[in-house]
Amino acid sequence: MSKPNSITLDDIVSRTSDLPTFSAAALEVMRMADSSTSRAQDIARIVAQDQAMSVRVLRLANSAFYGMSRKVSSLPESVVVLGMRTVKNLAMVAATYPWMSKPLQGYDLAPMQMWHHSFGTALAAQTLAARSRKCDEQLAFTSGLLHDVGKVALSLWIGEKLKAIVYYAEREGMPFDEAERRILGYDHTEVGEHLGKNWNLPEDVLLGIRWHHQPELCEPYHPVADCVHLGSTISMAMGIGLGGDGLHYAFSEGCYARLGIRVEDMDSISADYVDAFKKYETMFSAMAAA
Amino acid sequence: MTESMPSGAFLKRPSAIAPALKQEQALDLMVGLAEIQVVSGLAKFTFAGLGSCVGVCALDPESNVAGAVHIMLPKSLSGTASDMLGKFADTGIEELVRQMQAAGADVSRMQVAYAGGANVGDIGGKTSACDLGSRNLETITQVLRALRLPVKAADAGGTTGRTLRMSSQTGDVVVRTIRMGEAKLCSLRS
Repeated sequence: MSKPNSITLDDIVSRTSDLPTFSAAALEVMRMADSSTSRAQDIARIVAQDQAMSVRVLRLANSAFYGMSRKVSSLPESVVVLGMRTVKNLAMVAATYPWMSKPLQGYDLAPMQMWHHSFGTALAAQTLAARSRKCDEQLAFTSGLLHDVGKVALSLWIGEKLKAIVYYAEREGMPFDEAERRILGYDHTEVGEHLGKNWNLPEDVLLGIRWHHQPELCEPYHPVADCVHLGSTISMAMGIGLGGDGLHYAFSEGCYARLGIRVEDMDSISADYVDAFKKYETMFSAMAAA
Repeated sequence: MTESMPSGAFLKRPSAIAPALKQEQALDLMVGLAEIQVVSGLAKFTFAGLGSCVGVCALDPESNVAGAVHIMLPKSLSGTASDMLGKFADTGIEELVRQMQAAGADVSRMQVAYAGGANVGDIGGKTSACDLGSRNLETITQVLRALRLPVKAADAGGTTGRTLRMSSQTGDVVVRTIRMGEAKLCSLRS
């Protein structure tokens, strides 16, 4: 095995050109989830500060998915009609779609595949949070949406190494993220956490990013790690946005007990999840047009 | 072979689905989650990104009726809608055969191949508690055996994501993985 990469996490973030950005407005919307004093119209005011995000949120609000009988023409109106939580999720979707829908060659992800897996994981994590009642649903959604952000930064540096990492992981009988650590010196969850810190993402959002493949190591324990882990697992199993790393990750069996979810319910959860994901696909086309 | 088949349960269900397309020019068909596609004539079927799901392809080389089903889960859940039979191994394969027969296929001539059924966590010889892929494969094997459908080839299990393609014209079944690239699994015409 070659020596771990001499490129540091700081190098990845500082030297990667075309790295995604997270607008100040998107970050502020995300933070508002944690504030019980957030008022609905404050969300509209903040989203309005980012023109591109505003346009996308309005497009999404008017997409076939929500089936509005009349056009929603302003952000304040969208908050009234759809509710604050939905508009906050739409703002997160609008902020991430432009760069998550691009191909990631380093991970063998065609256009839209990274987006499908990220959105699919967000949707599953949110569902699991609601079912378990142990985690804030919006936190699970946001953390799920961003859980693989490290891949966006690492993709360029991985270049042609993906096949070698997969081969090494299979030969040594280890999960793909462990092979990343052995070969590169870090895995995509560590890169994602580093990038997220750079963006000043909330600490609990970072926990889902950092521990989504090893939720049992999240110390102190936070259920968002399990929601994103199990959400990502369901998404992989259903083949939603599957990359070259495939399903070659460890599964943390204890997540069922920690979330209070029965193993025997997983098939119906997966079936409902796919039905929900298919319905949301109508929303993606509205976003592509924005 | 038909005379020794089980009571032909798949013949009893009334068709709620349009008859198979008669195709002169090859159609490119994506077989999405839970979908069943049947074509009489030329078609290329693609299952993109099979994880624990299993793509099952079938062809009757004489009638040129081909079909495919994208199975997600092993056993049907209560209240399964008739248009979602393809979601489950225990209903999807029977429904595929029923639709192929309705399009003119003879079950005794059908050849089958499938791919998928990976599990998150089946690493280093360990069996994962997340065993959806294995359960899918187990039920598919049982159903195919009960229907006496011969399996020409299968590429299944492990932790690899797969893309599966089948051409009704050549009968070629091709699987793409990150390790192997595109590799021919078998021909359903030979």
